[in-house]
Amino acid sequence: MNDLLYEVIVTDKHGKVIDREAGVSRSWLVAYNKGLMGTFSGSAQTIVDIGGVGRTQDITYSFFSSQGLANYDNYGAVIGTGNTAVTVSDYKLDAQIGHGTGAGQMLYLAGSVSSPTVSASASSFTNTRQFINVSGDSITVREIGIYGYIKSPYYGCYVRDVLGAAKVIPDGGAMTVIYTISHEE
Amino acid sequence: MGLEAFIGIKVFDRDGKVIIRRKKRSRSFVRGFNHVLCAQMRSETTPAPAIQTRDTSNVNQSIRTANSPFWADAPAGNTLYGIVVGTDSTPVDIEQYALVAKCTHGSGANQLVYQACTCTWLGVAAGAASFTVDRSMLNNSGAPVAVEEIGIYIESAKLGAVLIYIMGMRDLYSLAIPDGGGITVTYTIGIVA
Repeated sequence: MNDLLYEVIVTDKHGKVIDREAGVSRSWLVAYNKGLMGTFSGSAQTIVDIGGVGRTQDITYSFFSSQGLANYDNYGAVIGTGNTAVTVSDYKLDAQIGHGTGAGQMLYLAGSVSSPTVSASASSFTNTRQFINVSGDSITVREIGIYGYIKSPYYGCYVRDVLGAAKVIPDGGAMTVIYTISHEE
Repeated sequence: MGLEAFIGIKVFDRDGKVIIRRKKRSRSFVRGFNHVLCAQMRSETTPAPAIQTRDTSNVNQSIRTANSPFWADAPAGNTLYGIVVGTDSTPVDIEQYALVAKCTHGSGANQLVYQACTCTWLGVAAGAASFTVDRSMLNNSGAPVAVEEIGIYIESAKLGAVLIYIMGMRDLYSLAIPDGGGITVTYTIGIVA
């Protein structure tokens, strides 16, 4: 069995947790599975990037890389304001929140992908990132996802989820997104 | 919803007639698959990676990003990677690193002749995006072979681009392959939103 779980934690400017949601991820997307097929077969596939353009994947070292760097909003965990229902053919967030301090923007901190752990029946690791709101106003987050390399400098959307309830991030507050990728016997 | 895998089985006799046809949900990706995926997501390239897992020879290996990280497209006669089958029915465990009793390539007792392993992208249909991995194995051993376990070994890499082989999936399936016959195993790996 394969589980993809998410958790989002919202804090105010003092670091107090004011909202939290955890759930089962709606889905890996076509970019992930087509990319996986490419690496299984050794035959590079054409995958639609987050700009809507088909790109021939890199089946070697960088494919799936999704540990986002600070200030980069084109790979790693990402957030947005859209709430269009997820389909497997989605190739980007509905309305991504960009990195910055302007209206409707949030600061993207460095993401981290943990080392895997193995329990009695599951192997798991996490892809985590925090976003800070210093825009001067609150921002409402409705969707989250994971962007990763297709082939440098092109990125694909591997995962997208619409949150069960919109999360309002107050000015000075933050949101942390934690995806847990787990395979169970 | 999410990532799903199914195993389709066709067992055929010496005349090519299908005598058993089954399909079921795959029991398990095992730890090796998730560790290789983690290495790719981390872009793990450090000399002493934190990600270690046992290869199919039970050697603990430090995994790094690889060329190509999940290769399963094994040529005929190669049982180091691709779909493999075995004769042991020990229950699946997340920590397993190899089939318990893999059938090797050949025409001796309990051996099978492995054909090439192929992967096919099926596309997006009815809300699912799927591909298949399939392989046929022929029994020229002179006696029936009792297959009890099926898995996928993947070719990956460690530091220095040295190839290593990791078990990604293992499932139990009890099937008798008649002498002169064979088996075709088809894994369908799909995502459903």
